[in-house]
Amino acid sequence: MTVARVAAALLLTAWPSSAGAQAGCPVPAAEASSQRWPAPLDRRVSLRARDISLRDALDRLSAAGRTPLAYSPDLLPLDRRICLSARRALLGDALGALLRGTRLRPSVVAGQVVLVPVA
Amino acid sequence: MSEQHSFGEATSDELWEAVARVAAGEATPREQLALRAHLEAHPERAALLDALDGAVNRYAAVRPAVDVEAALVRVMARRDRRPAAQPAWVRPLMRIAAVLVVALGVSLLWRTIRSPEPPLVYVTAAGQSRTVMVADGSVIRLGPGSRLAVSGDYGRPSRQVELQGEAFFEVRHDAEHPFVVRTATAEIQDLGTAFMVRTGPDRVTRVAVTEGVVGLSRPEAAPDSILRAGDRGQVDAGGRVSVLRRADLGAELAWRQGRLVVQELALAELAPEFARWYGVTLVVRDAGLARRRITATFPAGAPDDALRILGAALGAEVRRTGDTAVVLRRQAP
Repeated sequence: MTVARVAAALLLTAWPSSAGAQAGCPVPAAEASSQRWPAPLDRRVSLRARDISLRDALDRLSAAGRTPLAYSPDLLPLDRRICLSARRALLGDALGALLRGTRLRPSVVAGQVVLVPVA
Repeated sequence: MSEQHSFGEATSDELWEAVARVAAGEATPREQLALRAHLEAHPERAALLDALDGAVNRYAAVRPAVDVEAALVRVMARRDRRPAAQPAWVRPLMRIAAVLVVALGVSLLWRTIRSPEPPLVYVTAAGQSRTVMVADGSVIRLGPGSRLAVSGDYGRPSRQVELQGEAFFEVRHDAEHPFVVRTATAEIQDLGTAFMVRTGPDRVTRVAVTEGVVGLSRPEAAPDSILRAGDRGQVDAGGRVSVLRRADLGAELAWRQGRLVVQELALAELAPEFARWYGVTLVVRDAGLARRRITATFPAGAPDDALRILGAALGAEVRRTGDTAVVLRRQAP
């Protein structure tokens, strides 16, 4: 289990590309956390995308995890360009990586994934 | 036997009778003398008669002379006069007018007796939905908190329904009997189609087409825009029509699976949806919070869960009392 999480974390890393192509596409430095995610954040997701908006990335993770996401767009830089590569990563870890630098963290409320603002 | 006429102690009746006889010229000379002697003996009565005589004479002076016989002759002549000849077209015209009056009367009576058939009305409560199959085989899925009225003369000739709220239509196309959805601000005409229509308190009518084609317009107007599968259109309260081609219709259609899906919708605009889905009135007194948008999928039939998700996503506190939920900005600890 631990080996699988480490492998997933290694895959949830930067999309290799030239510096020019990556300008404006900062890569979330995802790491496998030791956190135990509640369902459905414990689902495995695989996703690979480059230079997409955070809005699109959230939509794709929602589809990959087969679960809707609830959040306030006013609390997120949804138009920020990002790159993402995840292979069998936990949905919670993938979302945590995407949300790095924001005030939101993934959580489960009433069985649904909610990106909750933290103080 | 000689007549003795004296009015020395005469009663009023006898005196007035004598006066009348003298005035009419019917009195004998003796009666005239007796009356004259009486009046000389009673000057107050003489004065009274003089005044009466003067009034009668003044009336006679102003009274127009009436020739009764001549007047009667004129009336008889007028009675026997033949009416003037009428133009030839008058009589047919009178007949036509009479027929029209009778026809109008019968029509009014028929309308009174046979009032139009009332519409069939379907209503869903908060959080409920139902499927309605109409006579032509078209299927209408009515969303929560909605009202659909199917015209009493549906199909004769057009197939008209009125919608408040939300519904998904799968229409059996029939060019001879066009299918028309009317809302407060829009008219949607089916051209062989499956489509969704939603109205709200903001008086905006939203349409999403999944199959075929629909015409979208203001009420009683020719279609302004043609929507095809994948298109989303709307008519706002001012009658302006706008169309988004190849849109993501997932949120519009998710209610058919029993989920309320909103995408980047301001909390103030979400409030009427919560009322339709959960029968809960959201109260948001903080203007900044009311403008805050939310993207979420809320489960049907679970208002407390929906409120918890709402509060968590917005970083707000939600206090529910009965059918009212107050949304407050969360205070910093």
